[in-house]
Amino acid sequence: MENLDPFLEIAHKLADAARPVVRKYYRTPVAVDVKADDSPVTIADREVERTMRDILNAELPDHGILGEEHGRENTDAEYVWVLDPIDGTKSFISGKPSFATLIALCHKGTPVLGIIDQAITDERWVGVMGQASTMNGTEISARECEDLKSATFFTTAPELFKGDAAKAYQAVSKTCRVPMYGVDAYAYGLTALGLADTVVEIGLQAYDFCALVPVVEGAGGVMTDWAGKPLHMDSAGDVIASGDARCHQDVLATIKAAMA
Amino acid sequence: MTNSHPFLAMAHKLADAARPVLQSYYRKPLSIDEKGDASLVTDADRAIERTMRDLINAELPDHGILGEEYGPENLDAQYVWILDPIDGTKSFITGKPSFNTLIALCRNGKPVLGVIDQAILDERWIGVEGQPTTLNGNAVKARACQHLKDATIFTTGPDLFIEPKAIAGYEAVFGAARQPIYGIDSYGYGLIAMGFGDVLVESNLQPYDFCAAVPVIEGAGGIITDWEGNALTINSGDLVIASGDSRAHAEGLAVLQKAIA
Repeated sequence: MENLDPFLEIAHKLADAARPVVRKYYRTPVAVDVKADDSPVTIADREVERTMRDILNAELPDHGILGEEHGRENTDAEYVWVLDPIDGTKSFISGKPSFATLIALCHKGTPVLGIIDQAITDERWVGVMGQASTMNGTEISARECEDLKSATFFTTAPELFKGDAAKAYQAVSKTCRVPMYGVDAYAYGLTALGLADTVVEIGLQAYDFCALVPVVEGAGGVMTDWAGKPLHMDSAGDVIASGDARCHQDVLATIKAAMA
Repeated sequence: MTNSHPFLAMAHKLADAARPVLQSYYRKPLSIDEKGDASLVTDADRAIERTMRDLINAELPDHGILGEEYGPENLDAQYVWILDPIDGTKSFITGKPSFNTLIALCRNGKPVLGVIDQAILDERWIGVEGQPTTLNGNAVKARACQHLKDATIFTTGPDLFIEPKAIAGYEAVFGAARQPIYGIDSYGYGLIAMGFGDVLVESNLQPYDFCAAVPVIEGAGGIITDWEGNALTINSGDLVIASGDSRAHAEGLAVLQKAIA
């Protein structure tokens, strides 16, 4: 793998370009379409992604792109950018600043660089494989948390867990110390800051989780699927992120027992 | 657009005094106690409420005070200030800016002035009985939403509905709405007042959790009541529903009533 510094510079450039577009549409009446999978999409999502793709096509034409709104380009390339222009579209539409622009770079499918950018609160988390994560340029680290019963647990909404997954959610939310809801990718940023302990979600797409992996891991945390396997661009989208590996093991065991 | 009320300047003064205290504790290591009711209280909560009480005691000694952290003072007074230094303490502790400082003034038990202040995002909603609600000085308005089935509905967390009646009501009303959004705290009242959400349902609230929201929601054209449709006062119970449109509100009340009957 090449030195990632030049790519980090491009990643910042993408986030910088996304911000004014996000801000332009924030809390304005935006037309909302509903996609085939029932998720909402706005003109803001499409315009932010278009802006980022244009930069990548111009500067790194041999890299691939996987984005939420405009599909796949050259995703067999060694390096693939994975973009979610507005993760948390429902929050964005409700004027609640917990949505984020997510930018990831995957090398042979493994997320090696990630940015979580909140354009309204002016917060940018950066993770690069093998380096300490930062928030607005300052190094951050996750906190200790021995087990799930001591943990502050985040997820977006209970309704997103169906069937056996609902049992897993019930077990985790009943065991943890404080359950918290509704903050989308922002929860992973709070975990990397040492303000929360574990996040459990299901049904995510590559563009929802790839950017989070280097941020959480570079803060000393752990992020895997529900079976404990590392996340990859092609992972199914059941994810757990924890600040402390001991809590992570406890969450994995709790989920396994609940779904057995 | 500015609001006017004889005690509005005092309300701003309280919110202005709360902000630097709150900001000084935000995302810093906190000493956290668990109160008897399993809710959390921090040094920040106490310091902010103390600051606000000292101002009221000094400037309006004949007014009463009901606050979350310290005991009631002179609740029989004509005017009573209702203070929640940090509504959404759990969000505050996790560094999530949906918490607010809530300040209400009740006249003979009825909320006539309300402030929802978000110190990190620099957002202040002001509601004064009979006047348009403002956010940072600009008039805001709730949006039309005729039916519950079209509504974006807010609450803080499903686990906060504890009594069987409250759980039944929550499940029914959330099941009937279009889009549930969680983790909202009192920020949801502000979003409804500016037309970015339609309905908010909570249980287990105290007067200091909802009194400030009453003038803010009503001044934006919305409606806020208990689950039986009664207007909220300093003596109301713990079940609250707020809506931007009275038609969706009526449907929400009907669903709640049927579920808890």
